[in-house]
Amino acid sequence: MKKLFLALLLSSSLYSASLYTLDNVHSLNLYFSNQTKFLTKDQASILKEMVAEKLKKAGFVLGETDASILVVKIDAIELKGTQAVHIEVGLGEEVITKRKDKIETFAYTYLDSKLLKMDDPYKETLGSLTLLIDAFIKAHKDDNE
Amino acid sequence: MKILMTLLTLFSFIYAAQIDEFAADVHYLRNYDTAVKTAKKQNKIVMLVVVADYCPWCKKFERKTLKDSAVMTKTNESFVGIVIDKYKDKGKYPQEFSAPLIPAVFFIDPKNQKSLFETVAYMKSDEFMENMDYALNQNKSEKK
Repeated sequence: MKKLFLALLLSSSLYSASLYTLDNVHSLNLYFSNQTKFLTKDQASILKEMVAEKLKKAGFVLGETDASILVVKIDAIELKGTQAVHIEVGLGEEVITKRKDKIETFAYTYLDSKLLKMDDPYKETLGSLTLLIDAFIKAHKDDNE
Repeated sequence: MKILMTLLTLFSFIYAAQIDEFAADVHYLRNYDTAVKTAKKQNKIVMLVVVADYCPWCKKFERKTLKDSAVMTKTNESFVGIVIDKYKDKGKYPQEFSAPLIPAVFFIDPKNQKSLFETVAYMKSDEFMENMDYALNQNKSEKK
């Protein structure tokens, strides 16, 4: 088991691309979930807007019917005055599995996250979310060029 | 009996392992000895792809690179492709090709069954085709 984890770790560190396949993802619906207490409504709106702008700039069409869903989820727990913040970016889609009877299900076809202890939670959440969205855009570009 | 055989064949096709499906899609073999024999006969290099069913990078390598039409054409022209599961096919291929990191591809001279060249890790089709060319050149220079 140790060998397996080591191999996985080593393998993933060798690649700059994402292990997911993002071919032909052109339209997205953005689902933004703020489950923290430290982010105000305005700050959450700024974050959502930043994500939407980055995606549009990268060529994604937002808001179309039946588009894949880009889930941005932020939650946090307070630990002795500092925030441990978990930020997740995932692409959710209806997929047909290879299981018997080709079962259809909702699945994440891309997932990346960060868990960080933050002294300045808003500023650092903005920074980390920017990195996660940039990584998604880079992975998409890499698969579609 | 015929009906039973047809049904069995159908079921085995429907429930074939994903590695068998992939091999059928890209016209790769699943048996090492057959691959070596075929390569000798056709004067080609064995291209041994080592993967595992838990490995997401292997799946991506299969989907995006090995199924690429240019890669498939080049493989079928100059190589005898074979795909093995590193763990599940253990004992069915020489242990020296059990790569520590996967996906791995060994380009093997069928005459002495030694690796001419090997690649490790996922790579895009254009990069992989350069590696295929390198293996072919290695083979040519070893023959001189």
